[in-house]
Amino acid sequence: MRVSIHLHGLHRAAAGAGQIDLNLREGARVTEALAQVMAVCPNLPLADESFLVAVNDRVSHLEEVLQPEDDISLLPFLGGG
Amino acid sequence: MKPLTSLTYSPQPVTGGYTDRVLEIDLSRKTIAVAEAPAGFKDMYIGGRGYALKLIWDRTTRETGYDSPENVLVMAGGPLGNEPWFPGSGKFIVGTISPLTGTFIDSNIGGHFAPLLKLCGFDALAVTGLADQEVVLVIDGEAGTIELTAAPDFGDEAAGALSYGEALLREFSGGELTENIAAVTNGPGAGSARFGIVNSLFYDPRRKRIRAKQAGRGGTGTVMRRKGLRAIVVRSNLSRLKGNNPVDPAGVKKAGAALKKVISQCDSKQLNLSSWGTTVLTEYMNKFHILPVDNYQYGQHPDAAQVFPDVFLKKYFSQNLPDGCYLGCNLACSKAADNVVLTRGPQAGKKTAVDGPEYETVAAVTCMGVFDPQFVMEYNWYCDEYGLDTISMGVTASFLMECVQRGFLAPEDVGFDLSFGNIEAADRLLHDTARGQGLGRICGQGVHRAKAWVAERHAARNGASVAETLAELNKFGMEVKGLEFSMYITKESLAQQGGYGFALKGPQHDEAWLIFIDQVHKELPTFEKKADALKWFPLIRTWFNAVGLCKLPWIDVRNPEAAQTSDPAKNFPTLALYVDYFNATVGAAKSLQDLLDDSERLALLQKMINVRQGKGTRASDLIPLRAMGPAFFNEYQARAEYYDAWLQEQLGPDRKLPDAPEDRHRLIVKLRRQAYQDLCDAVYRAKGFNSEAIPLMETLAKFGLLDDQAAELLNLTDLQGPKEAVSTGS
Repeated sequence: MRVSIHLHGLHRAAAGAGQIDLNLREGARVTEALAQVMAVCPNLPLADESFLVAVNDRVSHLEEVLQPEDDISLLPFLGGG
Repeated sequence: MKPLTSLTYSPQPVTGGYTDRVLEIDLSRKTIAVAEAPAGFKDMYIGGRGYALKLIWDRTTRETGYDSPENVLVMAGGPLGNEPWFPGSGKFIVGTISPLTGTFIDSNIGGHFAPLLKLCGFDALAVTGLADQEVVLVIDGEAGTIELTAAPDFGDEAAGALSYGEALLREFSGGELTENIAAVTNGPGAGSARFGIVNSLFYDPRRKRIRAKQAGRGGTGTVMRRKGLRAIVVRSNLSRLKGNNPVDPAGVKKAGAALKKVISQCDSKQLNLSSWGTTVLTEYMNKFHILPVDNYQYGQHPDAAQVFPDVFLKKYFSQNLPDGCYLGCNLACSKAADNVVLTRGPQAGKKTAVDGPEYETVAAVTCMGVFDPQFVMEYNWYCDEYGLDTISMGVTASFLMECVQRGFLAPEDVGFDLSFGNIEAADRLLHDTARGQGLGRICGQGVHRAKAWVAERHAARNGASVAETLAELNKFGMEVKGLEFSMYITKESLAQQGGYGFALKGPQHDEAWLIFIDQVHKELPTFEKKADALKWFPLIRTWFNAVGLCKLPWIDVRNPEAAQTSDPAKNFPTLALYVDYFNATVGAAKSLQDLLDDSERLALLQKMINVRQGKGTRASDLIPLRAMGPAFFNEYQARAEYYDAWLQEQLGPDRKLPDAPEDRHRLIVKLRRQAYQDLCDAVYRAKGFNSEAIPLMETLAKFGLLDDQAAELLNLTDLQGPKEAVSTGS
């Protein structure tokens, strides 16, 4: 199935792209999507629980099972200045 | 500079973060006095906000306007400001009765001014009266003198807030600028507009130039200008390190080192504020439909990438410089460009430095439908030089643009093509506002007053009623209590609708910013949870303003240990460092709850000032329809699929959506209005108010605030339920 990862800010700068499309097996989880992205963009700062994952604009978690056409976003913690 | 009046004094040393002295200036009488804070004052009314609120409460009345001689202009840091061992300790507030809201406003600002004021011996500066000529106040802790002088004239080339301040600092320092001299100034725009700002100027030895930060909200610069006080200069050569003379220096150093470690380890992997500043927010706000576009009609735009952070980083920001607005801050988010050539306006061709932009300024420009980074830089610089708030300027201009779009303003009202996205029009309106000419004269009054002007013209031209026209304008005139919204779209976050509506000063996000934990994280699903957040976050966020600290190292750098706590968004592990820092500085043993209680007392006092000034009731907390949802059908249409799904969720799976899109829109509006009223009820209960948003007697009594004035107000408002006279018991 096809899903998209949208990258913003620091992640976009590190990847050099705002969107990466992935082909995953049916029933794949977020963590597998991130593993594929890391294989393409090893410089992405995805360690140390320093980011959040949103699926279709709602905060999610690494074990969420993805659906076809899902939109995954990587987000920092935003508290508002 | 020959003084009009002067005072020789010995600066009071700082002890445990305080000097217990207030410098009082009466510009009408030309008097300078040093007042000692009463015993116990600082424990009851903490820090800069505490001083400002108590002085305004005691010395002004319901009849006091922003331009009344008795209005007090207060500038004060707090016990924790002025410590390079701890990040973000250069903050202070400017507090006064606002020209926009008619009630208390405090706007916080960074730089060296408040730390130097403290080293000169003063916790706070309070200015009353109106000068009969433009004056400058010079506080020289080295010479032990305080002088009020006629404001020097540096010519038209140095008439703006930035240029005048620089000329003044150069003259005062004999041409050798150092970090030990700083100034606050206002600009000519503050003489024309109600949203004038106070600029805080300080010398940056790394950039080898003077930099500026701004107290932007609520028109504090307009008050300063109206008082005839052109600028204030402070000087002290005393060491900043341990400048607070803390009770436990080792404790201060330990807490500061721990917070600096969190920042250095985490920021570069999170928001990366140290490289991009707050411009980084633009990208995330656009992603989640929160970036104001065309006067908050839309939250996202295909051209938004033109003003994303990497554009400013590559094209404008001078890089690889530690950009803290005060010594010792390793978050260093105060970005700047050192060589920007202006292409528009009266100073086109001039090469200048721009301190910014912050996210709010970028979004003020997108709110006008403009996505041009060069214009953002120029808008930023001109607003600072004129002394205008970039937010209120952009929001009022956007409101007028939408009045043109919807036919409330005719071409003859404007005189030029004031449409969204027209850079030349936006630029012209900015300069006209600063000069107080043409439509700029109306724009400078802010959205609240502009609505009345537009309604009268439209009604007269079309034979409509003024009241009905005003009701339409109220849907999209983005102000509450007279203050323009800051730059976040709240349509899809009920919690943040309250964050703006209940904000005591008006809709500025420094009291609450709950959009992400509500809209994206979905952590506030019930009214009770929203109400809890709308009580807790304002108390801790305004505590930072009270004690002289920046809140960004807490709220925008997530401590990794927070993940293991019950409420990660509150970032308790970092807050614990702030509690340690407070206790080590002042010599206390307070808990976080004690600090929240200190802050709640100030919030209640501010609420009572609002009640007195006619801005404290439930009606005062009402927000425009556009802040609740799609005010007009075109906004619904822009995200019809999203709104239909939202509506279906509200109705449940068994109820069918109305067939006509117009009916769906109407139903959404009805539900959104009801939800906001339900939120009001929940929040007032949580805060100890009655259903009309007036604090209950017992709420005030609990915090020692039921003085004669408060009791009289509660009796006057007649909203305390059954007839029972309120007594202070004295």
